[in-house]
Amino acid sequence: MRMTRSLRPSLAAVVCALTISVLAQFAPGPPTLLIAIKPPPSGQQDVPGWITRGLPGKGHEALQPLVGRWRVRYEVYGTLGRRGDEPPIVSEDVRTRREWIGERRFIEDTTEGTLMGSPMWRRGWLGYSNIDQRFEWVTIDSVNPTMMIYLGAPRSGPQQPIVMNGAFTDQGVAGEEMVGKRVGLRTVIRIDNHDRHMFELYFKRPGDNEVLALRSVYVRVPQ
Amino acid sequence: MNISLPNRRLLHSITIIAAIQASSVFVFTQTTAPSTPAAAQEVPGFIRRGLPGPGHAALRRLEGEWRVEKALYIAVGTREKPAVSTDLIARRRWIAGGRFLHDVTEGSIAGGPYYRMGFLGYSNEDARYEFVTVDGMNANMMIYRSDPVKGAQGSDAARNVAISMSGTFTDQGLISEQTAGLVIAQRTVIRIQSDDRHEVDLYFTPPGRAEMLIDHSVYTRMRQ
Repeated sequence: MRMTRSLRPSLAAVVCALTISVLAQFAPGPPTLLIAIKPPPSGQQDVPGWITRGLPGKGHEALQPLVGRWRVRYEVYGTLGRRGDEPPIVSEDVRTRREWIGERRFIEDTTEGTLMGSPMWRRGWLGYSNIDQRFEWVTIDSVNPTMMIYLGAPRSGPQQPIVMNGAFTDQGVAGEEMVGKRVGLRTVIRIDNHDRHMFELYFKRPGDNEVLALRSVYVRVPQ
Repeated sequence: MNISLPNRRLLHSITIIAAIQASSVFVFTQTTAPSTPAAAQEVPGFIRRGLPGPGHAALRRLEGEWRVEKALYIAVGTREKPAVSTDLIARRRWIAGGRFLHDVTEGSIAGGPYYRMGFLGYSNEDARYEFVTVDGMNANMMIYRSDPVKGAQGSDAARNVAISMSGTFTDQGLISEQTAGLVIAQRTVIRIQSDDRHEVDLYFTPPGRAEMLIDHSVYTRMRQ
């Protein structure tokens, strides 16, 4: 990169000024209105585009209601070797905590509990790419060594519900006959209000209709 | 909720595996997971195929606390005058039962704070390495995948290996204002040189230009 000296300000000065304004927008408590990326105030005219374009914006504001501690109703339909045409396996013994990381650009989600009497663990990171104008979601868990990567459609924006797609090579969670095959993924996040939302995960097996694999209903745990 | 007999067996199998992993014994081969032939028969394939294996063993030497010397050639640095830091610390530990290395790198560079979190894994089914990072500057995730690895062996844990993973991202202007909004190819190479030293390089390839090194980091193990 050949950036002129005038466009290369002290990183500390830029980060300090911008962090203060960003943190103020995400103050604890009820969600506050987050403004889009603001032009730098007078005196900070040299703030380069590569910084301002990376600041938390409306997409991140849309995720703010997901932060906190949650009690989860976990319903397993068409995964863990099931086809999705049986009654769900349900666990009410699941908890999720979510917090901002990366200067409030990403939410880290840790979900733990028991399912069918056995421990379950999943961690995910949810963000909004300003430049792509899409949500991004990656999860890992203690069953799959494959990352589950979901991306919103480019320029889909911070609209609700949040819809993100991906695919993974199955190790058999979608059924033994799917081993080694690519299975389509779709996550839908429906935010009802500050205290309740729902995640749904759908599988699209090759040559088959999309089926609901998982549904998680989150209710906020009062602090 | 009624749990069918197959599901009860599944529950039993998962419990066995969870117990093995909770004992902090790093499982390198699938056949070492169940302790008895009978247990092995009960472990469903979708569980067995997800156990940590040789691909994960090859990453074992990256675990721990590391002093990082970083040179950054874009954004706050240039090729001629890189932004340099010697006060970064990377902490890596296994999560998800030894399936992923969780990496948090913190410190300062160019007079400002530096933060990056990543997780590095090996997809058994794809036979490839996968690496995703987020940081305190970019609002998008950086996603890298290797080509399929042929014949990963448990002995890779002791070999000096180079892992190359590629991806793309949409530039928010890190390279230049002219590349803002363009899709940029990127490649990360991890070169493990010993138990106590490795290097990580990051390359960008803007459209119509040659691949260029934009980040070089040398990791030296911190003594406990």
